[in-house]
Amino acid sequence: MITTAQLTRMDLDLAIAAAAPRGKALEGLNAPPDGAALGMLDEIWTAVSIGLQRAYELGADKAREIGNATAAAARNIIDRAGEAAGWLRDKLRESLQKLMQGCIERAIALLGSSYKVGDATVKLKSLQVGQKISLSGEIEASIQRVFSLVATGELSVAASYE
Amino acid sequence: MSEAAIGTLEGARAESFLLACIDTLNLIGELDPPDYDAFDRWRSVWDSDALSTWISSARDEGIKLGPGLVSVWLYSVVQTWHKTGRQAADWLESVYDAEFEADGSLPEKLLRHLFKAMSEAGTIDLNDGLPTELYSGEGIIELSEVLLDNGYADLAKSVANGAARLLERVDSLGVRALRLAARAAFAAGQPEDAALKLGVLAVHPAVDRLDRFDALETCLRWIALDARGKAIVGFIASQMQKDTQAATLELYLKGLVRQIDPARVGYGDAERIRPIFVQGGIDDFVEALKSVFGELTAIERSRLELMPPIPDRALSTEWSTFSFRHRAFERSVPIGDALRRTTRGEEIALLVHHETTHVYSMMGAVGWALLAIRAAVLECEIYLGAGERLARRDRDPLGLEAAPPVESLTPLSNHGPATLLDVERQLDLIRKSQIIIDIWRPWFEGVAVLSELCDDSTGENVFSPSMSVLYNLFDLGAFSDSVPTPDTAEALVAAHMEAADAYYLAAAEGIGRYRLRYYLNDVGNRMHYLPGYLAVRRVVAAWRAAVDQAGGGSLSGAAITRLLLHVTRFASEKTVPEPDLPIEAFERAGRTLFADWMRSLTRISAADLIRAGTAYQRFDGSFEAIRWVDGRLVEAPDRAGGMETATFNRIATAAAGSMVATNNDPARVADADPECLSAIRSAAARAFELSKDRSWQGKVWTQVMHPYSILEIAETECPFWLLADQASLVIVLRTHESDVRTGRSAYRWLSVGIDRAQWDRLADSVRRHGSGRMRVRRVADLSDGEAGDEAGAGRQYLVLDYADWRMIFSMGLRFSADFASAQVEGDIAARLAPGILSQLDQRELAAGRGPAERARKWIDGAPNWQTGGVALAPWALHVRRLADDILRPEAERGTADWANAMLLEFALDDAGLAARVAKDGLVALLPGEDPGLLTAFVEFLGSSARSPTAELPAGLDELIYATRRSAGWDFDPLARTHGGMA
Repeated sequence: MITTAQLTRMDLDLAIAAAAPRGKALEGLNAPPDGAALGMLDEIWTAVSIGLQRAYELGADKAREIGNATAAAARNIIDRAGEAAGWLRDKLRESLQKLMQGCIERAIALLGSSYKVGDATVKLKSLQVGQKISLSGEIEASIQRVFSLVATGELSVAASYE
Repeated sequence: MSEAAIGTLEGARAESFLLACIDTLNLIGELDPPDYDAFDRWRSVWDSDALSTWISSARDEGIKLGPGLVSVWLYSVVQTWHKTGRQAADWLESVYDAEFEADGSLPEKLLRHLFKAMSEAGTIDLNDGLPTELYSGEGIIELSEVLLDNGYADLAKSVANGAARLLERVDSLGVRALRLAARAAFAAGQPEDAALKLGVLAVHPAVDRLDRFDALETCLRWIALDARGKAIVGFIASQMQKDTQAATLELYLKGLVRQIDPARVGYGDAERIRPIFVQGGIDDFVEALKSVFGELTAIERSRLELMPPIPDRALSTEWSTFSFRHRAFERSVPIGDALRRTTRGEEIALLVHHETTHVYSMMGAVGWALLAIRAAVLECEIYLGAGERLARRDRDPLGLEAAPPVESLTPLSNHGPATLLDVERQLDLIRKSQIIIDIWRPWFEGVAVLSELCDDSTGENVFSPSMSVLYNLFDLGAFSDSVPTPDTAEALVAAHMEAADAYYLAAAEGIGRYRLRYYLNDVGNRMHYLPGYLAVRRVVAAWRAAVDQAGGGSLSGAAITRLLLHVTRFASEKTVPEPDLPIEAFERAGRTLFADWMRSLTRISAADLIRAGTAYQRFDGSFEAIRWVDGRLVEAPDRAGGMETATFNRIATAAAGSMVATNNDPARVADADPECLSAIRSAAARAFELSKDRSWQGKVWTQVMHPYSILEIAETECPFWLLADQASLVIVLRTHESDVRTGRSAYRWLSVGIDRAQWDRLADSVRRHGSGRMRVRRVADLSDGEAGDEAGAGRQYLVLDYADWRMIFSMGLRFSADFASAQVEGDIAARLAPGILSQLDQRELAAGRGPAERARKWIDGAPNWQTGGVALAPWALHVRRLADDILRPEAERGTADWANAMLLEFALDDAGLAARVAKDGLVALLPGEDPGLLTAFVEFLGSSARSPTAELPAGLDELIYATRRSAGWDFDPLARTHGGMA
């Protein structure tokens, strides 16, 4: 038996929230020395997260367009980041990876480890993610890739049971 | 090997050390005539074969052993050391422990150290197979230190040389002895001898790399390049070639020596800059310096690599010290235009403004009240110290226990009710300080975030104190490449400030909006900043509306910054409750007073706002003498109207009376039986009697009222040269951590003209200490100053320190113009080297963790809390809970959460909306979800803070929290519709 699981909107929201970059929690009268870079990261991530939610709702045709616009906005900010650009790319990639991992885990969680079919029980034998996931290379391409995988609902996990 | 043979062997090893001991004995004094009879009597009864009985025989004969008699006796011990050294060790130690009372005199001190040192020398046996770290040699080294500290440099050197030989196989002690021998040689005026010892240290495997580096540097700067010196340099070089860890040291050697072949040692061009004392003219020297500057800076960078990394942490302003330090200034001191040249210089400028605003906020009524409470905390510590001293005297009449250092927390051992009350009083006051800090923290952040991004003084006649620190962080001439040089000094200052304004504005408008976004929208930290920011914006909106309606135009961001600081500092006198209230009542009162105070800010009249907003800080020291009374401005003799002293005295007196006499309600202790309640009352009555003696209060208060107005901004160590002909000092300074062009540390040289007398004092000190590096710090004077005086207004100084020599130069807008006034010099000295009680207050008590952790350990360490049959356990448990409360993180203490919720509700005047903002952040205020809206909103918040904007940003025309004033659109958290004039 083979079944597939697709990401729900709620799962997407939860995965986005879990992947959001956070500054170190502060106490006392503290200020981060790299607040500008953290603010840039927040601006990009807000665009990514809201863009993904909209793209999920609007479907594959719009997703590509929104993904491209989001990637271009991210590029625009990174270009202004000066020496913090590398740090921004790393942090962004880290969050995108966390997002993808979260999405996959949530999709897998939708699947049962076994099913009862009549008197017989079939157990999970293998899992297969339907798409190739690679977030290396240019950050714009990574953003576009995440949009095409997640927001269009293309991300699917196939499970086979026996 | 027989014991006798070992004794002989070790005796031989100890020979030079023992000879130095004999020389030391000569310092103690010979027999006085009255001692002659006593000595003869003593000699007649002692048993020459049993040295250990000598002291007891004197005691039996009633002979009083003064330093003269004992030194003669010790002389005999040394004379027979080869036979008795091992045996002597045992009883010398017992004599040291039991026979002499410390009276602080030099002979007594020397005798004491001689006993200890000789005892240790007798025990050292490097052939017995024990690990060398088991040998004690502290006393041997301490003897040399005592001699050196008391001006006997030659003798100190002899003792240290002997110690170095005796301890050469005990790595840590041998190294210490060698280092001491080098120090003593410098002090004795024998720098070349010192250089030889440093040469040994430079290749010593037990010395850490930075110390080796410094030893080599000093060695090379002093060593005589005669045949012996060259051989030694060659030896060092060859040793380094064998040591792969020595790469950076080798760089130094190559940099200055340029040859590592002993036969070819020579300094070539670098010889001119090798010695600390330079002969000839400054022009020649500068030429030589320039020719090797690249190598010199490479050497400096390699030294930096040997230092421990600077921890990666958020920038923090500390309540304990009223200060902060940016990591960029940890090992560099900005000079000239350094801030403009440094990577992320703009962000550093914004951060310096932010944190300086915190420091200024602390230097107001709230900060003074907290210092006053700290004075009472310190008093409790003094009571605890006194109690422990008495207890120690009872259990240790001979004084064998080492007394804890005065500047550290007193370890507690006595588990009686008096101590328990003092501990509780101290924790009670610390907890109240914590409550005040937690209540005010969000407001302080709101003020700092807003000010950081809106303080644009362009075209203004007055400026905020935080901005004055920024102006002075650039030295006059820092913008000479971008602004024309005016003819007059006044025009030069004006042009400098204008350029600095432009630099700051570019930072605020550029990266500032991203910083604001982080402050207000970061998922993990927005509740750290957002509530305070929105509350401040509501106050600002009310102020702008009032001034606008009164026809006073629009309050600029700079005026807003000045006003916010002015009211936070000087209009908050009555916001701290009486500290003798019980904790719960204190917190309730603190919350109410703060909330009422904040609401009162929105009711300040337009006339008062205009006056206070334009009458803050000027560089000539002038200001309008005004103060706040019940929310209105009145004339005052000085800016704070004497509030500092009055607030401090009132709160400190009340705090000192906390939990004593009738201020102590034992009912707070749950489950206490009548005897325990009675013990609490008795302890409170006793504490009240003790607290009546205020004779020493002034001294304690002075130590706590430290000159916090001096802010240490930056610090580094730098190499220097002394030019005798011109009485000049040249330093090479690391000015910034990372240069925008090279990405590397940047250095520049500075020639400092000083008067001959100062030069001579420095030269003398250098000859006595040897090191070719001095400590350089940049400090700012944040005092408000009096009309026409020389203090305050963010003025900055470069403080050059070398051992006991110090020189202070004006920097910033007074760069190269003058020196610090005597008053500022005094404040700087007190700030940079706090007294013992100040150290205790700032380092151990102020943060509160130390006393709380000590209390928990002390309470848990008692087997039971029964004293004289009274069960004190419920009381001890109560105190322990208090300590637990102090040790909770801010998020678990609840006060800051209350303050955040209250501030949001105050800002938005809508509990439901406040809750949504707390949950979702800024987006809860937006008309839609488009990510561009949030970006536009943050930009609008930033720009409207500086001044109302002509248009609302695209997409925000539906924003209901915008209001239109005569000068344009402003953010107003209370506005629910827009389009009309506010």
